[in-house]
Amino acid sequence: MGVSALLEVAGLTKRYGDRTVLDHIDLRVEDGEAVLLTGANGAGKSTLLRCVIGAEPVDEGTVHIIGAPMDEREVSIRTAVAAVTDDLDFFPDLSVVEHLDLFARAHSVPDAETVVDDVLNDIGLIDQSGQMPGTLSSGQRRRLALASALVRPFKLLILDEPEQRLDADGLTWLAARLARARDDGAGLLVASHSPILIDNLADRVVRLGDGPDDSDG
Amino acid sequence: MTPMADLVTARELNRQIRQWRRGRAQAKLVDVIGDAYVAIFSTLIIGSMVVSVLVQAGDLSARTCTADGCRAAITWGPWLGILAAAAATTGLARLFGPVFVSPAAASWLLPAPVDRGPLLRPRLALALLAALACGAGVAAAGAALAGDSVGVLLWTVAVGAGGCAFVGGAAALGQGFGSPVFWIPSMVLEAALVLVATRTLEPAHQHRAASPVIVIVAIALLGSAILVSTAAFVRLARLRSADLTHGGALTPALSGALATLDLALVLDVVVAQRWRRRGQVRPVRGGPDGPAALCWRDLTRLRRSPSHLLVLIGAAAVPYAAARFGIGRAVVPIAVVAGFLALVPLLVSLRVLARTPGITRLLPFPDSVSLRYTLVVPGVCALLYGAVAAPAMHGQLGSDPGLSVTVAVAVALSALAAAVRWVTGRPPDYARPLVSTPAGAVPTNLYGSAFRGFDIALVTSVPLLLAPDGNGATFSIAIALGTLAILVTRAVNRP
Repeated sequence: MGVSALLEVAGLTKRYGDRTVLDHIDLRVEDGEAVLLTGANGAGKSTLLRCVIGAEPVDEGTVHIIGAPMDEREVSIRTAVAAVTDDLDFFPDLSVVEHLDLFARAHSVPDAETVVDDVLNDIGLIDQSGQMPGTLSSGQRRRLALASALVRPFKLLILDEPEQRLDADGLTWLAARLARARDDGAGLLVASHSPILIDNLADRVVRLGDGPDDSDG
Repeated sequence: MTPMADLVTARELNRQIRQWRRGRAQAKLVDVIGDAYVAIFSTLIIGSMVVSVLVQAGDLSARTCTADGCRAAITWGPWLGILAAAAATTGLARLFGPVFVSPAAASWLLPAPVDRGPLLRPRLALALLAALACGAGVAAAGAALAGDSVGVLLWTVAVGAGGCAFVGGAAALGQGFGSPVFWIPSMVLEAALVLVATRTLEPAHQHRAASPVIVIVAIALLGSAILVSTAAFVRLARLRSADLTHGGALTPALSGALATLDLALVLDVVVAQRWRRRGQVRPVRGGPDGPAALCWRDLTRLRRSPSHLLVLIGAAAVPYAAARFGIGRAVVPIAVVAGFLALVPLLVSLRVLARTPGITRLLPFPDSVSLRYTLVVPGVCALLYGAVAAPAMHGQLGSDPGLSVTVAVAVALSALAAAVRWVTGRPPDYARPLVSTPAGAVPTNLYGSAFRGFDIALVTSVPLLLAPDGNGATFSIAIALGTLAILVTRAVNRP
């Protein structure tokens, strides 16, 4: 194993009480590589992603991001990793475009307004720029969550079932957008059930919940 | 094609609903009578206790509040109470409608081809009665505390009841026209009428006989209340479903939050509802890069809701009013509590970041930095509040201008620390040990949540109460800053 992997998971084990959800998982994501996690509901896809981003403590094993142990408080890791999981909520009193402006400017993105407008156009929320998140449909909220990650620079993008509540056009767009990010050199770790994403995006597929062959090692 | 049946009237529909309910009633008549007995008995007992407390408090104030300043301040009590009750009536009316229906009724009753007017009348009547009772109760309590004669008390009650009913009726009329414009003149008009009444009070007749102006104001308000309420009842049939359903959707969420005594969750629900109803804003672009972007967004919020700053500055009237009672150093904790309560709406950003790790993970700085930057704008507002409130404490603590500045900073930081404690508090945790009570099993941190914020206000005020000098103020500042540091760290490390 080289040390230059964007993400390196070794022997990761996670238990809830007596139940072992993840059993010695090994996983590696390189620059410009898209790894898709699949598996039945409850197989541990979301738990694995939450362990990788530091939202859940692991019982055994290690997670390294760009060679450094995962510590989600580290500025360098927050700068490198963009993650959208199901615990993302929004400010109730800021509009769609103001959210994206905030994230872009927090990351000191050059020419932030243009970048934000491009992403809004790209993601199909330009007409909802001035709307409050509470008025968006569930699909639009999902798009806004994805836009929050796409509006900023990242080396590793982690998404938990990004296809949820997206229509067919949205899925096609998402696959193309993520492929573009991968081709630009970013690493992708995506948990998904969507055949469209798997067929159009995956360099490797890791299926969880199948026993000893879970890991991609 | 199915032939159209004869349309039913609202009266027939209500009769049908009553029949359904009767058919499913499980309580026996004796149970209903028993419940009614307990309800009436409890109301009488609690009512008599409240009246007894008010009468005794009135006697106490008559004996102890003899200075001119104190007498003048206590005379203002009922009128300020009426204005506060009217403001609360307006706020609740704006929040709920004031006329609203439950989501279930909205989905099957409103689409029915029935005149909505008769269906909604009981709901409006209930809302107006609640407003009337609120105004009357507050006015009666204020007049009793002021030691007014029965005649003055009755006319004061008439002003309070008429004022709140008028404001409630105007809000309902505004709902009918789909415009909030009606609420503003009603508040202004009532404030003007009450102020006219208070300014024309002759000191010689205070507490003994009703001034003719109070009588005229009371009659005018009651008459206006009847007029606007009648117009609101007439307009009921014109209410749109959208006007009626948002309040109904709010009640289950608020009930859930209140049931767990999670008052910060109540704020979340109200704030989310407010902005969902507003729906669309003119976006504000630009701003600085880095963590200062969070401050920029707090400025956007302030610009979008200037009323929050106005309320904060207006809250400085509380320590001034308290100082008129000659309560000495006790003005300090009162100023801190008033500032704390008025600062809470300015901390939405902190509240969202503290409860949503998904957002903080998207920001490229440590959580502690994000949270600290969300305190910058509220902190400046708190200092502004401290500066405005400081003269109220000037005479109570000493006349040194330097001390006033230190006290202003101490009050500002103490209020901010209390408000931060309130918004970052943990919700009741049902996973921790439960205490058995007559009301069921209760988490140990449930009751404490009701005192959240007030505890910090008291602790940070103690040094100034014990040592009303520069040292006391410096200790207050140190405790407040330490508290803020601990609260931010705790919010960062929240599991």
